[in-house]
Amino acid sequence: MGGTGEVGTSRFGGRRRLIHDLTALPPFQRLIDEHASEVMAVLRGAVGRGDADDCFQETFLAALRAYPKLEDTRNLRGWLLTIAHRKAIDHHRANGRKPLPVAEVAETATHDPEPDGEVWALVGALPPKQRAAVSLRYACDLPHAEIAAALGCSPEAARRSLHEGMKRLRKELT
Amino acid sequence: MTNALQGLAARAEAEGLLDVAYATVDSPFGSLLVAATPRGLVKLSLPNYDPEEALEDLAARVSPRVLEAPARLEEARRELDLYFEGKLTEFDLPIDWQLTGGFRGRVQRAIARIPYGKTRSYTELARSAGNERAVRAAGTACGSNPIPVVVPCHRVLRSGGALGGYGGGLPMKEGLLKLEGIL
Repeated sequence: MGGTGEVGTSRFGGRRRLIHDLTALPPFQRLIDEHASEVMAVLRGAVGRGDADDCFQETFLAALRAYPKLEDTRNLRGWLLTIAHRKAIDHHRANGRKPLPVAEVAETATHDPEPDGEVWALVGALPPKQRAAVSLRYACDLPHAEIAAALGCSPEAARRSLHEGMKRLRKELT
Repeated sequence: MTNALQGLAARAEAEGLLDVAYATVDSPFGSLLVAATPRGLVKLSLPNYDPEEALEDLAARVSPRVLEAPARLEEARRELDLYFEGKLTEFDLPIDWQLTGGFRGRVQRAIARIPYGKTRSYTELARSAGNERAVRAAGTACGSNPIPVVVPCHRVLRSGGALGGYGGGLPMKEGLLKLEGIL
């Protein structure tokens, strides 16, 4: 009976502990602490501010449901962003792919006190793939390969979605 | 963001996904971490322990679905506050004993029955757990008590009356015994 709760008293204990720590699931709260703001930023881009809270909760509830059986703990961030992306797509499907209503577009250029306001609203109105690619690239700063992994497509397709999305945004903004 | 997070904890609770809820509670000895399953209080971590390690331990031994969700711990917090003010002598909280078992579990349940303001020796404790000769094991069981303060292992002393040990450090043990008017 050890009794002190310490591990590593045997010669191989330290190694066992190390392997355990590398594969153990961290307390779920840590995922929230580390990734919640990023997930929220992506969802605001993807579905708009009004619906982001709900999609955010749906994302983390789905993650929480699946979490105990998750086997690969190496890329928890990518895993969460993938779920967020799916929830955003579900959201748009449920809404019949209605483009998000965009508040009046100003005739003249004005300073937007909330820098992401107008642009993200336009991002929210893009077709799903383009919207996701743009959000993952600019809200999460993901490289093309990771965007492809999150979207479940080839890097080439991810690059194309991003390019199309950006082209459309540029056109709308000028 | 705060609203989204609070809503998340509430929805997780409603869907039965909140396996371990935790909160921190201030005490005169520093910050305590308290954690509860749907069955009851499962862990209280004393100020000199790393709360992150306590949470990792809960994730590994109870469930990785560990969320900061103070709502489930409101009653525990209320009773602990009153206890540290000297206004509560008996905790009335459901306990989840799953982090303990066997002889240790019996010792810890015996500790839970020691009344406020009274003490027991390790020998007496071993006897009330059903094995008078297992004094050393009784000491170990005190040391591995997952819910100190509420399960009052600070009321267990050496036979001569010496303080013995305490996971939270001897000054805390002394402080608790003074609070209860034992010292």
